[in-house]
Amino acid sequence: MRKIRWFIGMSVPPAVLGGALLTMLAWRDRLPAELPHRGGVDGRPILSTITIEGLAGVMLGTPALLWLAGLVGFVLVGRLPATLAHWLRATIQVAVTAVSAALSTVLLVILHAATDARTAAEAGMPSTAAMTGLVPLTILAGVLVAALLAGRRSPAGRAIGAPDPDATRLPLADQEKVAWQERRVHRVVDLAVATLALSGAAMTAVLVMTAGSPGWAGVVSVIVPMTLLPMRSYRLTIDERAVRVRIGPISREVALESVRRADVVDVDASQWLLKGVLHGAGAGMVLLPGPALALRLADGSDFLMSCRDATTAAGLINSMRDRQAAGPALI
Amino acid sequence: MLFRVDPSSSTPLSDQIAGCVRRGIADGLLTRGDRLPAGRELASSLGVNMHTVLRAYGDLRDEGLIELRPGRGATVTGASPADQARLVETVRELVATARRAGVGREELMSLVDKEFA
Repeated sequence: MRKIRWFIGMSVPPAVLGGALLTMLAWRDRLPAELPHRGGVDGRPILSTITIEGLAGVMLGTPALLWLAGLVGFVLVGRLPATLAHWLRATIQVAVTAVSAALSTVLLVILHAATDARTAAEAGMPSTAAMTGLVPLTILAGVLVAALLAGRRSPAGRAIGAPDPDATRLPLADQEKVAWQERRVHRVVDLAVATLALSGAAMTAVLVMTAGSPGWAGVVSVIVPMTLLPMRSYRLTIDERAVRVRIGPISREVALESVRRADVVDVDASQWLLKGVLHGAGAGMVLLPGPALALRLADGSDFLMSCRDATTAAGLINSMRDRQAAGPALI
Repeated sequence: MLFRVDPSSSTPLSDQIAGCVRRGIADGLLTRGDRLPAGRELASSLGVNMHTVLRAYGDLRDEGLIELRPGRGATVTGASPADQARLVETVRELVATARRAGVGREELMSLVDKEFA
C-alpha cells in the first residue's frame, strides 16, 4: 500500500508537467513565435526576446530534471533507517510537486496572456492577480496532495519487549485508562508572521513607487507569510495506540508499539535548528529550545517533540509500553 | 495534560475526567483561553463514551471553569481560573470530609458562615 502511495505521489509531477505541455501545444497556433524576455514593460522597448519553445524548455525542463533527481534520491534513501527514509522521500515528493506545480502554472499564465498576439510586442503582461493568487494556490495544492500521499504515520516497525529498566515510569493501576492531551498556541509564529507581513508591505510600497504597476507583484511577500498562520497551533496526543503530534497542517503519528523507550532531553538552540528546521518533521517537531520529549523508535531513529511536562509524558509512554509488552490482557 | 480514569473506582468516570481538568487548571497547566480536547477525541483516547466526557465538561461549565461554544469546543474561562479550580476542589473535599464526619449541611454551612464572619 505504501509503495502504491509513493508511486502515485511521484506520478503527480510528470502528470502536471504533461498537462501544461499539452495545454501549450493546444494554444500553439494562437501564440506568437517569441515573447519579450527583457524590457517591454510599461511601454518600454523590448531588449531581447525568447522563443516559446525556449521558455517552455526552461519552465518544464527544470522540474522534469528535478523529478528525475528525486527518483534517484528515492532509491538512494532506501539504505537509511525506515523512518528517516520515509521523511526524506516525503520531503522530495513535496518539493518536486510544489516546484512542478509552480513553474507549470507560471508558464501557463504567461502564455495565456500572450494568446492571440501576433508579435512579441503585442503580447500582454500576465495579470498580477494570477501571479499573486493562482501561483501560491497551486503551490499549496501541490504541497497538500504530496504530503497527503506521503502519509503521516512513521514506518518504524515494532519494538520488541518493554523499555529498559532505567527508563522513567509513571505508576499506573491495572485497569486505569490514561491519555495525554496538549494544545497550545505558538506565539513566536504570530510574531514572525506579523514581522514578515509588515516588511512585505513596506517592500511592496517601495516597489510600486520605483517600478510602477509591476511592483504590485510584491504583494506576494505579504500574502505568503499569512500561509504560516496555521503553524501557530500545536497539538500533542498520547494514548494507548499512538503518539500524535501536529503543528498546523503538518502531523506525525508514531504507533506506540514502535516506541522502544521515551526520555526527556534538553534541546539547545543548535539542536533545535538542526532537528526542527533542517531535518523537518521527520526528526522532530520542537517549538523552542528547552526540555523535550524524545522517542527512541524500533528502527533506531529518534523523534523529538515539545511537551509541557516531558517527564510525566515520558513516564506515561514507558509505562504503557510495559503494559503492551506484558500482553493484551492488561491493556 | 494528563487524563487518567479508573473504571474500577466507585467515582463516576465523568467526575474523574472533570477532576483531571480541575487539577490541570489549578496546577497552571491550563490557563485562561486554553482549549480542552474535543469530546470525541478525548473519549477515543481514553476509551470511554463521548457523553461521559461531555457530562464532565458540562459540570466544569456549571462551576464556571470552562465555557462551551458550538464550533469552538471547550475553553478555560474566568478571571482567575486556577483559584476557582482550587476552590471547587477544596469545597468538594470539605463536603466529603463533612459526610465522613457525620456533619450535616446546616451544620457545615454554619461553620463556613462562622469562618466568614
